[in-house]
Amino acid sequence: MTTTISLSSLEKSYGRTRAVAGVDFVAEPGITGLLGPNGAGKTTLMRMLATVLAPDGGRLRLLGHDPGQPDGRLAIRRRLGYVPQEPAYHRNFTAFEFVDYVAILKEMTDRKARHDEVRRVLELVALADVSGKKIKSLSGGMRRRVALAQALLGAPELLVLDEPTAGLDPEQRLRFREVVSAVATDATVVLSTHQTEDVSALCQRVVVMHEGVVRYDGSVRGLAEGARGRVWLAADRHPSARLSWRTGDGRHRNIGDAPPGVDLVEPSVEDGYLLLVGHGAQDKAA
Amino acid sequence: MTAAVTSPDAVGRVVPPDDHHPMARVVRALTRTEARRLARHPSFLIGVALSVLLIRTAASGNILTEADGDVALGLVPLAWATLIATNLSALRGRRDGTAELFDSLPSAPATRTTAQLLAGWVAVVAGMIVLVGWLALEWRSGIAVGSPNVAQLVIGPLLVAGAAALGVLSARWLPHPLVGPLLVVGTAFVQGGLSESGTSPLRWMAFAADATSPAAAPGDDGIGFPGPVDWHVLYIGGTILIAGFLAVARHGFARRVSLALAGAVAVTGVAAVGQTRPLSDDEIRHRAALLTNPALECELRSAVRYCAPADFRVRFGQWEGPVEAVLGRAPAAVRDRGLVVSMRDLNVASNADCTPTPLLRLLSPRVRAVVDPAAMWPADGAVHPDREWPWDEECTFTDHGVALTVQVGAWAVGLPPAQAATSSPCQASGQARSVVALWLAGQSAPGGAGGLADIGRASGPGATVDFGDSANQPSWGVAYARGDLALALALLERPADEIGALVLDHWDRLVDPATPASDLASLAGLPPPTAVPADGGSAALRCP
Repeated sequence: MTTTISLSSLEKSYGRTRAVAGVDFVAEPGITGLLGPNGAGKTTLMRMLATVLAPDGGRLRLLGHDPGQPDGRLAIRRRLGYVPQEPAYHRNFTAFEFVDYVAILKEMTDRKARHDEVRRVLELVALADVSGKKIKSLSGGMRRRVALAQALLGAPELLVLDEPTAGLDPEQRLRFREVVSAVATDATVVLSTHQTEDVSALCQRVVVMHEGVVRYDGSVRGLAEGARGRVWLAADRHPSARLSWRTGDGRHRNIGDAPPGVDLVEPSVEDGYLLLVGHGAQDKAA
Repeated sequence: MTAAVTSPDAVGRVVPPDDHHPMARVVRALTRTEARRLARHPSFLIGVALSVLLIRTAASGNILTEADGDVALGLVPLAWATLIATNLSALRGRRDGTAELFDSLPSAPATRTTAQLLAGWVAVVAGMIVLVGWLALEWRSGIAVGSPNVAQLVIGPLLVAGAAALGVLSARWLPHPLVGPLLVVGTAFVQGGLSESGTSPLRWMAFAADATSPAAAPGDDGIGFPGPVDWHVLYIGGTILIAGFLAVARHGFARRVSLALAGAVAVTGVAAVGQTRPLSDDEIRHRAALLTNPALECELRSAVRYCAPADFRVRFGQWEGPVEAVLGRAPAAVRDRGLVVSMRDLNVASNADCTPTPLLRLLSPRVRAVVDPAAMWPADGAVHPDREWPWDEECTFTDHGVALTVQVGAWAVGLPPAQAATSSPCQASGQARSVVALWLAGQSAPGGAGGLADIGRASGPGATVDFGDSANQPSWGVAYARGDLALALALLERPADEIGALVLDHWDRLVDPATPASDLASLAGLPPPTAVPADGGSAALRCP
């Protein structure tokens, strides 16, 4: 397998704030999840992967090209699909028109082939029935799927999805997983999300970012394994727990250094993630 | 460290052709999409409707040579609407926040800007369709004469193209939705000022180079000289290119864009100089000759010689009816005197506000200096109708054809039919022949005596007939007395045969300058006309 993404000491600052402070990782075909709390630098990193933001330092190569060079950037963009964190649409376009518009900008100029491709991606995201409706009349979830549809145009080799499941209902999220997992058989997908369930369900690999640096880079199972022996259920919040919350059955799920004799449970990806990012993720955990 | 991944083909994959320069193909495809959206834009559709309405109402003249400029300006609403539509389209990405997504795509922002500029073709084509539709209707009407100046007409679609470019340009450099409407208001204000002032040094920046009016003409002279229009077309074309290249340059002054921009500036500069340069002495003399010695074609019909420029030969048939109607009510010997009916410009032209302006005043001083008014409006005893038929400037006075028949009537009774040079019309107040001329005119006008009646109603309180606020006085050779007109109208209410027989029986006596109008009244059993005050009735102004 060959490397699609290679980051080395990547940096990006906004004024005095270091949004990305020396990130290294590589990614290969398959789905890589990018987890992290708000402000962790995920979106800045995703924007650099999407070639819309230039790094201040470090080395970045995508699909074998340097995005800092015009020719390399063009070559990357021709094989890239991107869903920004705040996906925007031309509200007065129909779903078909908008995806078609993006398809043209992706240099698909043969009208019939392009329209076939637009129909294909709209069907992939289950929007074929509403493709003639104006985007402004679609629900938030449908609009998210329009954004995903345009990213899938031309079966890109690199798919950068910044929180694509935000606002999707459970059924839509399952559908999303189905689509993305199918695409990932050929492509490299980087999926930034707050949803550890999506990572668990989809990703072969996960990168956890916190305060601009990578805190974990490995398998999803490994992230969960990191919490093994540190998650237990108890009647109350335990003083040694770093995080604790009451679960549906009334017991507290405690995460931290487990005291002897407690009722240890199987850790989840979320447990491992929470242990890594600590209090920065308490809001999310709550 | 890394190598590109080439994934196997996926279902439905559309791989762009192996083309290192796909921008042209993308621009073409994107232009089609943008053009379709522009064609459906409410602002654009309203603009088309307003332009059609404006051209239908404003360009009512059937002289295509003169109407072309007005018709071209009729596309200004479409141009403004296109400006709004293209401005909003070009602001779409900013308004909807798609910039980040589009930045991740292989097509550069300049591609979208170029396509949005080129999409203006749909508005240009719409404007051309409106113009062609107007032309088709005019030609189909059978009364249209003359050929429109193509350069003059082209200005209309060019204005639309320019507005489309301006809409995109402003969206790129001043990206705010209020800028488009402000540009519309601004251009309306500036253009209004330019067209109001025929002496403004910036009048060559006016939308239309109206060759018939210096108020909007780009050059120094306007009366039927299309020369400056060609330069004006080039000038507008150049400014459109400047606007377009500046819009693209917002994404960076690439070498090709910079070169193209420099070329457009050069073309515009040359055109600006071309349309404002002073005329050479030869050109001045040529223009003066066109005025004083226009090329006319003549045709003899029933012993009457009709003359007009080649484009206006259709007038011969239109004039013939009323001319024959007048002559048919006069003794046969009158015809033997050899009537000439020859088209020429009136010595008074109108402004848009219906105030009369001497034609000579519309010429630039250098042309005016070499034009001999006596050669332009000679006292040749001929009937001189204007280009219009019927003569109608849509002010107070409605012609109904009497502008021509009054001249023929005057000629028949021995009065000067048309005004010579710049002198005032002569007076024949209280003379029977004056009343006979008016009666012949009213009886023979294709529209009946309505024109004469209108004159009576619209005329001011003076002793002689005037034309109210009518812009174009018909340049009659006689200033008819109000009392004579009243008697003529009274005669027109009597049976035509009865009065016709009376006129023929007493022709020699009635056309004698010494015979008073009261004699005619007496013969017809009518009260004598009101006594005429002696205002302006000096011997010098008495008709021969």
